[in-house]
Amino acid sequence: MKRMHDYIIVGSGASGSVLARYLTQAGADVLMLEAGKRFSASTFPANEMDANAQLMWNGGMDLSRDAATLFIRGKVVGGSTIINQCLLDRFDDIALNDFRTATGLAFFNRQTMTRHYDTVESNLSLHYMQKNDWNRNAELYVDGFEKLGLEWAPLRRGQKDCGAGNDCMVCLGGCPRKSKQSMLETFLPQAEKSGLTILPEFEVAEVVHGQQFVTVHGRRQGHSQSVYGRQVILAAGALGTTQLLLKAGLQQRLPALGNNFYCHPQWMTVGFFNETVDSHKGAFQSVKSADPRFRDWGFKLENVFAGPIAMSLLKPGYGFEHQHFMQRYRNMACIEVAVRDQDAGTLRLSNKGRLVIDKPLSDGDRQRADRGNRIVQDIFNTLGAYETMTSPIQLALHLMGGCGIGTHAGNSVVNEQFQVHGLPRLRIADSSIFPNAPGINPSLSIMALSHRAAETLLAEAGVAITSSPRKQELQA
Amino acid sequence: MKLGASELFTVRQLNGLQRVGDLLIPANGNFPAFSATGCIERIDDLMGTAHPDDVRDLGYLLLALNYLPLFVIHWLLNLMSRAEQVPAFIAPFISPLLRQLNVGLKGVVFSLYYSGYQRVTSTHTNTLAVIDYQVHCAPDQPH
Repeated sequence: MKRMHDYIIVGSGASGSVLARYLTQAGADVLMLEAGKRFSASTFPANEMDANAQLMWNGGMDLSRDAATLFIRGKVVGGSTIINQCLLDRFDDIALNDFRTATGLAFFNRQTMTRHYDTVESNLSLHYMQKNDWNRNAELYVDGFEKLGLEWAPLRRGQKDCGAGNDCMVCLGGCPRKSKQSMLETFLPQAEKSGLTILPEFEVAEVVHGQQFVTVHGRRQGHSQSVYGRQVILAAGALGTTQLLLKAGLQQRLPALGNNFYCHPQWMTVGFFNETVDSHKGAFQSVKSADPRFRDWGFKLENVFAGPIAMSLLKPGYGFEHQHFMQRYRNMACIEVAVRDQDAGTLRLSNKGRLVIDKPLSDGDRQRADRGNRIVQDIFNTLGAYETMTSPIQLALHLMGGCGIGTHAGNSVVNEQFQVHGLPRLRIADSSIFPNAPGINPSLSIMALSHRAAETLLAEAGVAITSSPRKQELQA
Repeated sequence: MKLGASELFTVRQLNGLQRVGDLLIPANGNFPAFSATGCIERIDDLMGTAHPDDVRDLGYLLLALNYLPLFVIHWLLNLMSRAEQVPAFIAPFISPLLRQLNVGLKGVVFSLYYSGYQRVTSTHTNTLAVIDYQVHCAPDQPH
C-alpha cells in the first residue's frame, strides 16, 4: 500500500528546510528528498577537492552554454547553505519595489516582509563582523575604500561561535564547529525533532501531478523508487526546480518556464603586495561596499578569497606562469565585483535532458562589471599593489529565476499562493521564483519567502496561523 | 580506485592526463611536477560524482592527449589561455569550446594537484606546503 505524505519537499536548502520546520511543527507528515549525501560537522570532507566533489553538483563545475560562467550549488543535505558564506541580508526597498513591480504582488513590501524576516531570523544566530574579526585582506579593503572616499559596511553573517584562531575558509566545505548557521545546524534539526523524514541520495527524475496526489519518481542508491504526497514542494533551487518542471513537459502550458534566469555574476580581482596578506586566514569575508552610488550603478564589492584550487583556476596561462601566480598565494589581496544583472538568461533542456544554462553577458552587464572592476583596480593601486589581475572567469553562486512568481500563467510560473499555475498540488518557494536579480545576497529572503509559503499551505490546510497580521491578511 | 586501479579511466587515458598535467604544472623550484606527486591516484574520487557524459567526454579528450605530440598540446593550451582574445567574428563558435577545454583540463589537473595528496613513497614537498597554505578550523577541545 502506498504511503501518502502530507507534503514531499524536494531539496533541503534554505527553502526546503524552512518549509519543513514550520510544516512539521504544525503536525504535518513531511518527507524531504535530497540528491546529496548527509554529512555532519565531524564528517565534512577534509580538503577542497573532496568538498567540491562531494558537496556540489558536478564538482562545482556547471558551466553556462558559452562556458564563460561557472555555477556553484550545493548537493548535500542542507543544500547550498553548507557551502556558502552564510551572509544574511534583508532586501532593501529597491529590491522589494522591483519585485513588486515585476510580479504585481503587493506582499513584496517592507512591512509585510519584515514579519517573515523577523520570524526566520529568530531561529538564527547573526553576527555583524567587527573590526577585531578583520584579517589583513579586510584591513586593506577598508583602507582602500577610505582613501578613495567610498562607503563600506560590515557584513552580517550567520555564525554562532567561530572561536579564536580558526580559519573560516574551511567552512566553505562544511563548518566543523557547528558555528555557521547552515540549515544543518538550524532549521533541519528543529524539523527532524517534529517528525521530518529525510531521504538523502534520492535523485528526483520526474514529478507527476495527479488529481488526488503527486508522484515523485527517482533513484536512490542505484534503485528506482517512487514516493507520494498530497502536495509536493519543489525546493531544489533555480536550476534544479526549473529542470524538474521542464522535464515534466510544462513549457507549453507555462511559456515563462525557464525564462528570467539571473545569477549575480562575480569577478575576482587579485592585488599582489610585497607584504604577507594571508587572505585565507581568519574570517576571510567581513566587509562590503555600502556606497549608494554602487547600488545605482548595479554592482557591489566584497572582500573575498578562495582556496588554492579555486584561486588556481582564476589565472589564465599555465606552466611557469601559473606557478609564479600560485607561489604568491600568501601575498594576494582580493576584492570581488558582484553585478546586479539586468539581462536575463534562459534555462532549457538539451536533447539528452541535461540542463542548458544560456546566460551570455549582455553589453550592459559587461559595462557594470567593467565599472566595478576599474574601481577595484583603483583601490589596489591606491594601496600600493605592485600587480593586479582580474579573472576572466565569472562565478555565479546566487542562482535565481526560471519559475517566476506572478499573477498570470502567461508571464509567470507560480502564483501568489506559491502554487504552479494550473497544478494545485505543486508548490515552489525557492529562488527560482525570483522575478529579477535583487543585487543582494538572496539566502535570507529565500528563507523569508519560504516561511510565507508555509503559512499559506497551513492556512489552506485549516491549521491556525498564530501570527495575527498574517491571519488578517489571509482572511482579507 | 578499486584495488589501486581507476574504474573510470584506462591506462592510456591516465597517461594522457599525466602528459597534459606535466605541461600545466612542470617541475619547477619547489613545485613538483604533476606526475611526480601521485595525485592522479585520486582521479576517481574527483570524477566519481561528475555527470557520466562529462566523464565520457573527458575520457575521449585524455585519450587524444595520450597520442598528440607535445607541441600540439602546447599549442592547444596556449589557445585555451587566449579564449577571450579570439577575433570577434569567430568568437561565438570558438571561444566556448576553448573555455570548456580550459576549465575541464585545468579543473581536473589543479584540483588533483592542490588536493595535497601524494603517493606514499613521494619524497617531494607537499604541494600545499609549496604555496605555504595552512588552514585550521576545529571544535574547541573539551575541558
